[in-house]
Amino acid sequence: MRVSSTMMRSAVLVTCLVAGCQDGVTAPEHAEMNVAADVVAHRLNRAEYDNTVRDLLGTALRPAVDFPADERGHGFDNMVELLSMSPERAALYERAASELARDVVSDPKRRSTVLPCDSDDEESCARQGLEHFLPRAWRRPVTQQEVDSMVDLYGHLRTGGDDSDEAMQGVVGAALLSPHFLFRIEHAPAEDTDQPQPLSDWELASRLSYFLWSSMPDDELFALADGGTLDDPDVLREQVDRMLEDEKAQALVDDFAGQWWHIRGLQDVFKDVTKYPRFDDDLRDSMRIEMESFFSDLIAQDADLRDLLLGSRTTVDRPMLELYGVASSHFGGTRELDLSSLPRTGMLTMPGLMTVLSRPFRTAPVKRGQFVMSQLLCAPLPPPPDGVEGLTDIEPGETFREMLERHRQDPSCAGCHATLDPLGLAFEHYNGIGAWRATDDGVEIDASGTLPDGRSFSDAVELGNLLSEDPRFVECVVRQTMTYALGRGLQDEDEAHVRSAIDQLVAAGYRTRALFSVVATSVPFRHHQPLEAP
Amino acid sequence: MTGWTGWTGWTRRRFLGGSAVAIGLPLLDSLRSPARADVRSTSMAFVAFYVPNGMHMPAWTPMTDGPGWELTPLLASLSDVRDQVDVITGLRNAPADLETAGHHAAGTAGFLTARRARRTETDVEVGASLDQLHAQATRHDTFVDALALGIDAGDRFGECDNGFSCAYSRNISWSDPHTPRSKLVDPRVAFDMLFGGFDPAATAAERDERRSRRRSILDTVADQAASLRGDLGSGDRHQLDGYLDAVRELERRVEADPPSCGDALRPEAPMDFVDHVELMTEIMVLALRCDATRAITFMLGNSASNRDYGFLGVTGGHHDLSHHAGNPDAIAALQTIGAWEVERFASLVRRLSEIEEGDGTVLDRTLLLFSSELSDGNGHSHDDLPVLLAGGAATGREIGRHVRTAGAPISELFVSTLQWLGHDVTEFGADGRQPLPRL
Repeated sequence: MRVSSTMMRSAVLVTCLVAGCQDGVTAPEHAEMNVAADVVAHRLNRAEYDNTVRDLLGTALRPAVDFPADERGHGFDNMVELLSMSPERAALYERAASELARDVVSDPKRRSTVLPCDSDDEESCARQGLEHFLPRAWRRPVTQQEVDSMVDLYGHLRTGGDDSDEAMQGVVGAALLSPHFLFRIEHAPAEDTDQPQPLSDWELASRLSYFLWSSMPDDELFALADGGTLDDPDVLREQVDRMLEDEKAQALVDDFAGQWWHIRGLQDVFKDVTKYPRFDDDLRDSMRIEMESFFSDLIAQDADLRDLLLGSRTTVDRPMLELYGVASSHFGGTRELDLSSLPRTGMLTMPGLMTVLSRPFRTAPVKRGQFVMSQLLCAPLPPPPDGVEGLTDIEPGETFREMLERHRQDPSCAGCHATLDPLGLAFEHYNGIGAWRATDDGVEIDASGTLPDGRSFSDAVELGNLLSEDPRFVECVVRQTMTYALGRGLQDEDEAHVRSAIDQLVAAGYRTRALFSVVATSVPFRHHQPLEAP
Repeated sequence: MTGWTGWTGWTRRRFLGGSAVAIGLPLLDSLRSPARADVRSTSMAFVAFYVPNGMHMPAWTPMTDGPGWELTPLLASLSDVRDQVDVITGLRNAPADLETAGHHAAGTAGFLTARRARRTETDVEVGASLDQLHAQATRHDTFVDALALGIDAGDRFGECDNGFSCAYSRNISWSDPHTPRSKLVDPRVAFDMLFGGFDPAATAAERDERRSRRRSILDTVADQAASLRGDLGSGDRHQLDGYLDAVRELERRVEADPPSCGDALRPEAPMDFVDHVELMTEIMVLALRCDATRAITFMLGNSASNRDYGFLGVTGGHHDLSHHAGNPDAIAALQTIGAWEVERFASLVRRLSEIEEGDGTVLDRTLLLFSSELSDGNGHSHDDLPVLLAGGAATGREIGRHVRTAGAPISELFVSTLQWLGHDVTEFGADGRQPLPRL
């Protein structure tokens, strides 16, 4: 695993992080801590844990695979309220911390980077190493007492019989088991005001890095926080651009797009082998990679994000090309495919998405309709009435469309299904593994439909066009991004800021990078969550 | 001196070298009173065995009441342990019954809590579960306070059930109304939780050193959390409280003697679903045999699981099939799956009945509950739930009957269960105000 180059930075920053510096601003966290009224302790989820230790220690270990799964809310697994602790989790953190500590202390090269010292005296050396390590591990300046306390632990372990390596492992392990490492701590000062309270620069640096990288801040972000200059819209925009160009932004693809567009669902989806003999683990991977590359390219090229619905260029390997029904001679690797001559549009009709939104041996129009409503329009329909769920059987000779029409005869179903069904049926040309078909069981497929507002479409490609013009789409994109960035659902107090972010995004030409900038510079992102009314 | 090796660098699979060690658990001797008349002790263990999507009740409910209940198609595999199992029918979980959709999530959240879950994506709330109450009472006597196990970690995308957070669908164990006890799905990790860190080659001095080392580290981080928490005003301390509770439980485990009994092989990674279920069953047997814990929950699948049971010759996902709409093929498929699930439970019960302990068996001091979040999956019914209660002969209770209730709350069964487990309670959940009368 390549060690991040940012780990090799200067020691100047380090000294500052210990005692606080710059204009007498000493360890700002503690100045506020005594009067804090509200604290959010946002536990790292599995992906964040592994990425953080990768960046902090340069380790190849991925301990989080053993941790219990993170709970999910609003479609994402980084929601503050759902990230809880349990004895099992703590036991596994303890184990991971000790393995990680041994891994780094026993590697001289990495040790000298992570715990540098230039003293021959053992205690000074330990102290120096910790003065460098702790602020980075805990993502904020540390006080003299905090360092002293860890040096005391070191001494205590030495007295107890540990040699110097073992004692250092113990202290590093403690630092990684600490709540200061496992949680992102945000303190809101107790001011008697309705005004939103700004995050400190340190807190903002962490929010930003976990948003775009699912990992800890790098030295540049730390330096800006230390200089007190991060919480400035221009600086934030610059940082967003820089961070989106870093390979660590792959996390946005894996974690944000992976959940928002259900790409992660490909890992577990099951298909009936007789019905879809072509579907194997290789094709599954190809599907995932196509969607991930598409999203990644949107960012890299700073494309118009409506390309999610309208884009005509994708990167595919040979199995995917075949699935798209395009003949080609054998080739290895990937090549670009122009979708404009195919009945396809953007990510909306990609085989990966269609595969996830299907059942083991057939399509799932209702799921596909629900995807559009909830993931693309942020307008999920209310739950079905009681006593209802699952589909009526398709009668012999009946198409899916006809079955759904019959189902809609029931007035208690029609309300929602009048909206839902046409959306889902628009995708009927894409079978259970997303391959295009003209007929289903010998019957010509009719993918046309009408939206509640009266606009009609003849197929999914046209639907994509209509959706791209629907203001709810861009609004939904902003909402999803903001929910993910904040780790919580949006509330009434956020509405004005959501609107502002949307306006800015539109003014910026719907550029993908602007999406992340408008969220990162928004009021909710830069402030503590509004306190509950007493 | 040798350093603390922790859990890795630990490549030996055989966790306990040397000859088999007889099981000698002093606490249990006090339980072995010949009369078995009035035994009330927290030495009893509890296991909850959850299967998703309900059961086809017409093939479940025995025709006759009382002892010697006849084996229906779904219960056939219990034949050799029939006298150790009660079939209790007619129970309902009213708090889990909703007016609108979300029955799987609500049924699962209410499975061991008998409470109504809050319909929300993130600020989850239901109730403390029965197993966790028992865990809290027995934690000082066992190495691990509780063990929450499962097979499915959970799918990685999308919403779970109509506005109910996925937390409700993936957990039956709740340590408090807001905190699910996240389950372990890897049998190797579960094994390590019980036995990891135990090095039979270590001398007593070495073990003391390791213990002291872990203690120092845990004390340090507990102090950090306490002081962090102490800085808070009226803010929400929920997350940090959870952290502190967890660390304190670890500290307790550091001081406790790790379980020791017989030879225990660390499992390999599961090869497939069937192997996975068998490995988890073995972990449960091991944990009970060694008295490593007295509160276990096991989810054979997550709520509304759409698992494919092709290996049983069944076509279609389990959840899809449970919406049978009267289709006889779907119903037959559901029965095949249901019978297999009961057979897995029977296998666990049988294994425990074969492990001798004093005058009896491990089964005698273990109460096992088998059920599902629904009865009829097609109509999402929370009435007439499929319930089995096995074991616990050491309490002196009558076992091996079909008890037919007329819509009694399942929370009353939970009150009875807690009483047999040694708790002095008369209430549980939202509607349990007495023990179940017919039991």
